[in-house]
Amino acid sequence: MKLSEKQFDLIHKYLSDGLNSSEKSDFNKHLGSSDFREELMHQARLIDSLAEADASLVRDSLQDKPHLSVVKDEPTAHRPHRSPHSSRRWLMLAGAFIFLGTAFWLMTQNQETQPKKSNLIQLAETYDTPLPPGQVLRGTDEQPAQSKAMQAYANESYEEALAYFRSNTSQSVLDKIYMSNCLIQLGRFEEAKTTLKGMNFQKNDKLKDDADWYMAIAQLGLEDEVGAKTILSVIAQDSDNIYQANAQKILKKLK
Amino acid sequence: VTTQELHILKKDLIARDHTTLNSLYAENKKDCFKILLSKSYASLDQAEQVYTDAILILRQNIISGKVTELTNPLSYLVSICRNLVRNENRSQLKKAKKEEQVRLLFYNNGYNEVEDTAEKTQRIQICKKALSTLTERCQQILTAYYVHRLRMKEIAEELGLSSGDVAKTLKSRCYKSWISAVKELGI
Repeated sequence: MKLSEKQFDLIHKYLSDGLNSSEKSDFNKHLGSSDFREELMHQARLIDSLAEADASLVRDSLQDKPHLSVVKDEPTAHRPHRSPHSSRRWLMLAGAFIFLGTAFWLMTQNQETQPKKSNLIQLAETYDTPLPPGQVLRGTDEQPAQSKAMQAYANESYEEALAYFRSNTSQSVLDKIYMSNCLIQLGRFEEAKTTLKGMNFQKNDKLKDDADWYMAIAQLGLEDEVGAKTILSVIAQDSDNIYQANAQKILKKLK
Repeated sequence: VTTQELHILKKDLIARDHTTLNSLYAENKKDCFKILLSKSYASLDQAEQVYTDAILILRQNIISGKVTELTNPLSYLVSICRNLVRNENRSQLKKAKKEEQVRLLFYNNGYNEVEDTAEKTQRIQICKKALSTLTERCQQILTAYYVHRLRMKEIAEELGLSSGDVAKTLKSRCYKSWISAVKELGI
């Protein structure tokens, strides 16, 4: 059965979240019809596929067209399709070959000369579970940057979280630990180490355990085996430290 | 990339002008691969796969306004690639919200059909073809609304339309043309 213009509009509006109350009741009446339901599901799936269709179109444009050949002033719909010149194609093939060769060389070089390097980074990655996000201060104007930072951190948008934490002029010890977590997650171990350095703690402050642990992870990421082992040995001997078991496991693997 | 440049880039991306995105893709590819491989964050195959995905995520994040500052595009791309590899989670590009919404609506009617992958792949291909048959303006509006989930007012501002209502009317027409094109192509 072909749908009427009205039914089509109802489906379109429903899928665009634009039904008003009278249209909503009309829509509900039409749900009794299997044809209507079928068309609704069909169009819902088409909309979902649109994202992938769009991604695929952009992907094609990234892979097939060298960026310098895109004529910016010409509308795409009227842009003539240009077949690549054969010499350019050969150049691209040669370039790809050289690039792949270099990448392969880099990979083998890395494995041959620094067998310990990847092992340390792998350990850092295995044990770098980020500190759980703290309470998000929603709707308060007192510390908007902190609130936004924590929201971004909870959403694993570490670059964004870092920017917010940094915009806060009075960073607490906890802020710095969260910043170092962001940096570790972004693979910026040197900056994480610098952030964690020289912090002052009260006696029995549990935040020191967190700071020490993430400093050890940063050292592992920097492939500083001696530095990491020194901190991990202290953690491994402290029965009150929540990271004790993990520190012992890492030390065992480093032996 | 300065804030001003980022704003222009956002506008270009909504208008489906990918020139700058292509430049970012080409300029950072080699260095990104170098870091991913030298730090053992990814294998060569994985790097090939995730790099394009990372560019698409960057595009999405710029359009949605999630990226407000991009001091170092390379570092941003590396961190996205790294997360993609580590989590093996490319589902960020696969949103299926509308189908779930309708499935939930049908729940009481005993709807339990599950679609197979081949059918889905075919549909994506047809959607892609149908989308490319539309005018540039229609492509911009439909992707801005359904893919990037921008509001009508914002679409109108970014695409230089006089109001959100004009954008809404155009979207309605474009949607009809797109559905007709899909039907003509065989679904």
